[in-house]
Amino acid sequence: MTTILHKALKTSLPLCFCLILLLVSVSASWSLTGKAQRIFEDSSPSVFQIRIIDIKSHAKATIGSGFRISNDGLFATNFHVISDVIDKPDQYLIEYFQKEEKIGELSIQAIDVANDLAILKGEESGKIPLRLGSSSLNQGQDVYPMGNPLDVGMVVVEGTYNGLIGGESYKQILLSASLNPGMSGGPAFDSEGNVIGVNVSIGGRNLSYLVPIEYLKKLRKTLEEEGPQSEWKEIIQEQVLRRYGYWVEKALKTQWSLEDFGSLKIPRKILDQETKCWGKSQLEEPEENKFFFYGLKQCESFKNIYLSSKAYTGFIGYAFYWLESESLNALEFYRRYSNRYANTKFYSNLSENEVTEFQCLDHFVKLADHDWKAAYCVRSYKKYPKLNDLMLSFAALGNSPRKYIIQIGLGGLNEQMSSRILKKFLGSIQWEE
Amino acid sequence: MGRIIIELLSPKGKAIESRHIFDKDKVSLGRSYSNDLILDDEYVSPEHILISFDDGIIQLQDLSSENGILVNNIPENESGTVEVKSGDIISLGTTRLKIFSPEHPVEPARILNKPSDAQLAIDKPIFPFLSYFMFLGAVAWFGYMKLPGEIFWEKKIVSIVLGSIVMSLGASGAFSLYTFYKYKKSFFARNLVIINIGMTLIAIFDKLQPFLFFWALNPNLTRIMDLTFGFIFMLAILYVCMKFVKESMEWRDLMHLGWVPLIIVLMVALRSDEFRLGFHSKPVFHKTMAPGLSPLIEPLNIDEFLKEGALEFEKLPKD
Repeated sequence: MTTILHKALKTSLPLCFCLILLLVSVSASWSLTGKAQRIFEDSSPSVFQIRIIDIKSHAKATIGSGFRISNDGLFATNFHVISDVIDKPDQYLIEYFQKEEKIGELSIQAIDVANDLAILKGEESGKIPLRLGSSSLNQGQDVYPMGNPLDVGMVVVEGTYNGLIGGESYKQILLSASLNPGMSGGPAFDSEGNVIGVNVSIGGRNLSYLVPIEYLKKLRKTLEEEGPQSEWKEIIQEQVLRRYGYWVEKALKTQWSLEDFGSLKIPRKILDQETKCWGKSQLEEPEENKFFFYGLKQCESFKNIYLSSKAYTGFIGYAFYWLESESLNALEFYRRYSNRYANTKFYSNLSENEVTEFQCLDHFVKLADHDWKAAYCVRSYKKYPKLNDLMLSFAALGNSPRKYIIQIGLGGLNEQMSSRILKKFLGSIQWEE
Repeated sequence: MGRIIIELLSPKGKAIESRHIFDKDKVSLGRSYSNDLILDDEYVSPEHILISFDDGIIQLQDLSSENGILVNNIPENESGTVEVKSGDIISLGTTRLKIFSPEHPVEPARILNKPSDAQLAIDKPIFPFLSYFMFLGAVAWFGYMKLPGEIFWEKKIVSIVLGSIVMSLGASGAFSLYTFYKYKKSFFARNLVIINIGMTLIAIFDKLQPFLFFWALNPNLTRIMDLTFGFIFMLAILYVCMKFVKESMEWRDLMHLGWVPLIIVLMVALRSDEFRLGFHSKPVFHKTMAPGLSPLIEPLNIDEFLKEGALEFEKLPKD
């Protein structure tokens, strides 16, 4: 899943730009039914382009959309649109524009990184703000997201509501509509013109996600009660940890059903709404130059939390490998087995500015009554020292011709959370021969 | 009538520049032309010393010289007569010389060195070929282990044969160049045999390493071990090659050769992923596993492992 912002950065090639421009203008004019036209006319005074301006070069570094939610100058957008300002406050500032005209500057008031929301403060205005509605629509109802895609001008799109996905407190609206880069942070309306959600990311060719409007209302309520926040790094850590804590509690509370994976019995899924699982296998066929049997099952969370355009966190992933070979010499088989064991995934490739190097413990472990070689690696985020990434890898030893590797990656949590979930996860694995 | 032998030495070291034999009991040394041995040294007095040999005893008489004399680099303070042993080094001015009596012992003759059987055998023309085929056999076998199917014969064998020829000829060529530059002898065929045998051993050892490294449980330790073994192997090959060129080569001469394998090992090290300097985003841990081996130490259970692992949090750098 790529966020709109992310795509916006990548698609700045002129050719791509022209193509998308063409597509957008065609689809925009084509989808402008009567309702869409009315919503556009009613709401466009309250929808803005948000630009993150690089202070030194006076040019925009990123663009997104946003909308007015109150008379006293509150605006809503995605956290990921303004995340670089929090990451480097001395380098960037936020400005908002309408029809290529600068209206003013914005300051950050409140954020919700887990749901990718931010409330900003701008100039007060007598104009009526947008009406915030409810995200509980019926599947198939029309939704009209608005925004400024790819810096071409304000656009309204027509899409279809497809229900809510994800777990409690961290749901998203699934929408069949083609959002485009730059529409991040813009409002999505129902046919009455009420805002039901905030555009957040593109899921596929014609699939997008919205943040339900209830989370924005909740954030605004917190802002009203507690006043503007400012210790952003602390707040971000706390919010990332809170969501991870919710995942851990949920995983611990549920009864995991086990399934067979060769001689192993492994949990089918530890978080049913938050992760997606995949599998594949390859038979050993020496005449086809496939010299070992290979089976893989892996599950991975799909909603990362953006910390800035250069770092994300908040994920869980695990994989089970099953290797077996008759045609390979034992030495060669073990060489490949060792490489597979050391070649880890489920960690994000972040730069030296974001994270420390992994610190690893190597040991032999008794797991499911068998001996394994195991590595326990951990690193922390330099700007968010309470957040850690863990990466564990296990490789079965012993004389069984069936060899297994277990890998687990956890991103953006603390030691207590990790040991609780790992204890249950590793403890649930069984070996039956 | 006695005999006195004087060897003039080079200004530094022990090399002899000239040997003078006097069949008489007294020999005078100095810059003046009246001396028995005339020394062209401005720091030597016209009449510097008188050497006398009597009843097996060598005596030096300082003839009130300007700069005196040194015996075995120790100044003789008292002017007059000193007794020296046959073979002592005497310094007058900047001139250094050795004085011998005719009874000075000499070492018995060395037996003329006959080349050993191994040395003779290695020069047979068949050996470079035999050793190359041994090397090729090992490399090809290990290559086949990686891809045990038709594809090996279709895709790999040609590059393995060509690669092994290049390695074998290239390395022995480089060695030969080095020895030719240093000793004016190249011994290409011998180097070829030694390199082939050495590289075969390295290839075999490389395959057996997992058995050695399995228990190390430390990626840095295994890396250091790996490179150390590589260094030792290469040094050994180099030593054997050099030994054929220069028989008087001793173990301490290895110090002078060490830089060659050191450079090769460093090049290998810098090329590998794990040694790349700078920041690693990827977790690096000990990976070696070997068939049939199981832990020697008691494995940790999950709780203990997680507890031990949690200690790694403490080791993370903190700002």
